[in-house]
Amino acid sequence: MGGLVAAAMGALVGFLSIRLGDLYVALVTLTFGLLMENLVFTLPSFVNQGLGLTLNRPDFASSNLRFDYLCLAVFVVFALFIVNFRRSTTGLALNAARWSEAGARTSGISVVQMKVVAGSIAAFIAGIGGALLAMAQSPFVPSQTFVTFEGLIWLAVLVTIGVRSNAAALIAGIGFVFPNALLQNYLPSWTWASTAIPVFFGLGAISAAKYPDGALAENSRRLRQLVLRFRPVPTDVTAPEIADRTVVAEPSEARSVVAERVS
Amino acid sequence: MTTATTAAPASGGTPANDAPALAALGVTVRFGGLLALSDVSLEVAPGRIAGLVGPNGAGKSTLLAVLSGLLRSNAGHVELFGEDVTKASARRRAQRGVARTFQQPEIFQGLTVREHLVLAYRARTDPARLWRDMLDPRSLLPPPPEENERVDGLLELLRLTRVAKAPVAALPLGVVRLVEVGRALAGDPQVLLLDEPLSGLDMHASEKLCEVFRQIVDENHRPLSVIIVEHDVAAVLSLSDTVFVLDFGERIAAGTPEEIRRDAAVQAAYLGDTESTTGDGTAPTAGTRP
Repeated sequence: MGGLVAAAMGALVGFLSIRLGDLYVALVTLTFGLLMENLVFTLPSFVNQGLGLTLNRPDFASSNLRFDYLCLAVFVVFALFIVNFRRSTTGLALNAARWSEAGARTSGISVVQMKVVAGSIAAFIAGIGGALLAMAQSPFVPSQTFVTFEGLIWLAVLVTIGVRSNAAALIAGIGFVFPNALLQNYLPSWTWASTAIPVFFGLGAISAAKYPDGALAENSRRLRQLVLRFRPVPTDVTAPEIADRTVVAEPSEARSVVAERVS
Repeated sequence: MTTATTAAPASGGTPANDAPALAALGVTVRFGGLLALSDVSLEVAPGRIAGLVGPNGAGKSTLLAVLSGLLRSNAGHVELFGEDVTKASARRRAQRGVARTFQQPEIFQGLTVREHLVLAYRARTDPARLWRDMLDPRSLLPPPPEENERVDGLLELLRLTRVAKAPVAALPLGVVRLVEVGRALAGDPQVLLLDEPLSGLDMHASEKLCEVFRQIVDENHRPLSVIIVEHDVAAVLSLSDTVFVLDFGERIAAGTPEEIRRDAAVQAAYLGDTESTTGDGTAPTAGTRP
């Protein structure tokens, strides 16, 4: 239910921001989050007169350990969904709309539809994640559990690691939880360190300006380039006759792109 | 000087009426105070190739943008097989059989060569798949044989089979232009708009690509009309059945390649007034203003 409600909201935000550029879409999303946090989540029905809301875990996942396994299972299901989604016609069309709106439109693809689909799917997955978070912290107060600026820290961690990879999402999740848990459980005297962690994530996000695809993708690319130095470009990526006589892309750039796809 | 011919298609039979495949009627486009196109008319008959030439800034790409639906004209109409599509979006026109390539290739860098063609094929033949596939488990099944036949046939025709699985971002310009052509053809269009497809290619590569274009038009299973915008006037004259010449946003000539070669206004636009008086009948070779 949470996923479906979030998907509807995502579709609405996606539709309203159709004509906006990337930065403005981010601002609209942020504004929408603040709006929900301050106007909706503070309503009496959402805070239950200050007592908070309870979202029971499934019976088979009542213990913390089993609930962790449930979260992992949900992650794997969505990871598989995303892998298949990227290969599907919808995924190809989303990719097309991302790289060239003019090319997509003249190929018969509705860019508007794709933006709404992208917003819906992203919000649906976030909604499921939010439901799991609510279960983990139940009883919870929405205005305290779903804080927009805390979400920005999560985003910073994700962007630092990589935004277009299931593996990066997994590493980002572990990276966000594990150091905090380590400090709180084993290094209680280093209280300053726990507050410094978000700062490190913020610095990492700044590095995203240099490596927009994230640290994981950048390091993977470098590793592949290193491997390619000792391995020729695959033979099936040979330009045909016409291309043999035309401007050739920068070899290093071509190699890195080829390596990413071949791997 | 004659206007555009509407002779019978070279192959595939004639349409139900005599309407041109695609026509621009009195198109005017202004960018603020700049008049980019002034009352320009152009048409291409089914199964024919129309060339559109002119010096830099003549308005060729602007006219192609109007024809493909990416740009709205301030005045005039666009008709597709006699039907007014002036207000139709680029996507609607694509679904009705208008495909195009771009001067600066508008490729999808995250996709492979084959994925470009597959996506364009599905967008035209079964547009519902664009959103249905994310929920439909049947999308996991192998593609239908017709899709493979069409895509593989085009890859073979354009000699792209060897790079079918390569990401387009890694390919040289000449191949990328072929990928765009393949993507445009994958949806089995009735009108193909080519915006400077020979740009960046040397003479040998240009000749090869022109052969491919002629082969596509001649061997397509139904009449395919092509409008080609190109600076290489000699290539356009050799390829086209009809040629239109623009200069400063106005159509200054239209006719067969032979007529265009002899046209004084065309020679003046390309070579300057003094040169045009010689009238030796040779084709202009440069796309720059005198």
